[in-house]
Amino acid sequence: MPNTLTSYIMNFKIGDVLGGNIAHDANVLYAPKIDKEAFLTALRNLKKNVSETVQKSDEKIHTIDEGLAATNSQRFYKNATATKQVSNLNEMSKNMGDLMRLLGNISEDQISGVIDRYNSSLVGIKKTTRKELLEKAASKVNGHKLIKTEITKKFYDDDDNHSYYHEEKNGTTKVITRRYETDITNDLGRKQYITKIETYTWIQCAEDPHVTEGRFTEMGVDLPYNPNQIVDINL
Amino acid sequence: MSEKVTYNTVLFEDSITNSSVLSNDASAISDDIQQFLDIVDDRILGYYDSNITNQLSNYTTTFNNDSDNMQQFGRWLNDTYDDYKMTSSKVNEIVSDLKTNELDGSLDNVGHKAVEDPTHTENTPDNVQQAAVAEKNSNSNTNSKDSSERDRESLLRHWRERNKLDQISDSQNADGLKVQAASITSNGSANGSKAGIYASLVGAGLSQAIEGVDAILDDKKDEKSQASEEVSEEKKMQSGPGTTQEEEKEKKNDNMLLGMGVGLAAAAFTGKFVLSDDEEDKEEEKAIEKYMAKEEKK
Repeated sequence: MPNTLTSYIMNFKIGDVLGGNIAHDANVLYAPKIDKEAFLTALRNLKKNVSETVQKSDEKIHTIDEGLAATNSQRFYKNATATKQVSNLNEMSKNMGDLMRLLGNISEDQISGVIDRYNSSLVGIKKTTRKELLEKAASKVNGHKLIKTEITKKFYDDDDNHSYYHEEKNGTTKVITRRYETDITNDLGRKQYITKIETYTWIQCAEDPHVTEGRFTEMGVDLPYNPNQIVDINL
Repeated sequence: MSEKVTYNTVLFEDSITNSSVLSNDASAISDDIQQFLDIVDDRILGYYDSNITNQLSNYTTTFNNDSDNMQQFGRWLNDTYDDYKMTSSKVNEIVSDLKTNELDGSLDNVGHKAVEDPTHTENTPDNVQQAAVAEKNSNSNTNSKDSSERDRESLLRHWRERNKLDQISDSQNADGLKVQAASITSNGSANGSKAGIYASLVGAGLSQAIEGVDAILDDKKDEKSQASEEVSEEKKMQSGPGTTQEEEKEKKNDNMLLGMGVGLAAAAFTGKFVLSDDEEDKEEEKAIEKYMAKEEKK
């Protein structure tokens, strides 16, 4: 797991994710899923290695016990040093037993179920968060970022089909056309109008966040997150 | 009867080796746990049981400590084993000396309270005592017959040389000697003369000495073969003189001594006592002369 991501991990505890108690910010997008197979493999290896080592060690401890018993150890090894040494031997045996019990209490099936639920919840939160972040970022610029203004003056015939307000939107822009009547009338009685065309950025968020992200890029608007850091990119 | 315990040196040496292996095992367990903790996702252990991570982390320290402890254990076992081997070697030397002194028939030792077997002193660790006993048993049974026969021949040669009993050849065995002794006794008695009487005493003394020696050597054979089964009897001997086996032993030693003394005294009066030129015999000659001088004064 990349070290740069470890700082995000503990902010997304299993209990918080399953309970939906997660801040929907960019960090969610960076939090990795739990690698279930890697964990189960590591756990099984640990159990297997410890079990094999403990079994061999138990046999050796048994042999040592026999050796000590054969020397009538209860009567011979009575001083403090001997007592302590034999006690340390027994202590190791006890520690191994306790460790085996601890590892035995870790249920692989239970852990697998928890991991699956966690990953599923996390992915759902990622999807929602990404969409929310894009929409929020788009709303900040939509209709507010003026791209250009065009002004024209023309004499229009009365039968010109014109409107005083015109708005067009596409995926990335909104065009607003305004026409103003001037008080200039020519000899022919035709009126002069001033047309002001304002073009604004207007990012339409698509269902596919990748499309939306493309529109942000096209309009030169910064994305609300670093797409290169998003993990599980196939959202 | 206490349970028989055998000091198994193979097991002990294996234990020393296994201590080192145990140290490595403990270290391996600690490494396995640490490796797991390094790679496992903390979110899992934190959710499953917040104590598990702490407990597993603690076990890395615990088993590192166990690894150190097992190293120390192995060093302690090794030191203890070295002490045992040294002590066992010393005890074997003492046992060997005891065997030599007893069969030698030294006047200083024979007839005295049986020398306390140093393999059964209070200060000797039980395991060393048992080792010495086990070694006595394992070594003595094979060689007891040969050494007994040799010891008997050696003692009887001394007799022949001292008493110049020409009619007794080197090839004759103890039974043959007994027959000769009986013959001398009866002939001497029938003769009735002073020389005859003393000759009979020589024969009687010789016979008695032979019986005394045989009895002692037979006892030693039995003692060796029964030593491992009669631990309690040997413990009885440890408590001091006055036990049944010791009394019998003393009696038999006294028999031999008495026989030797009577025979030697009689041989001296009959003029059949001949001294050898060997330096060792000269020492014996002096002792015998003193003994004879004492007898003459009586």
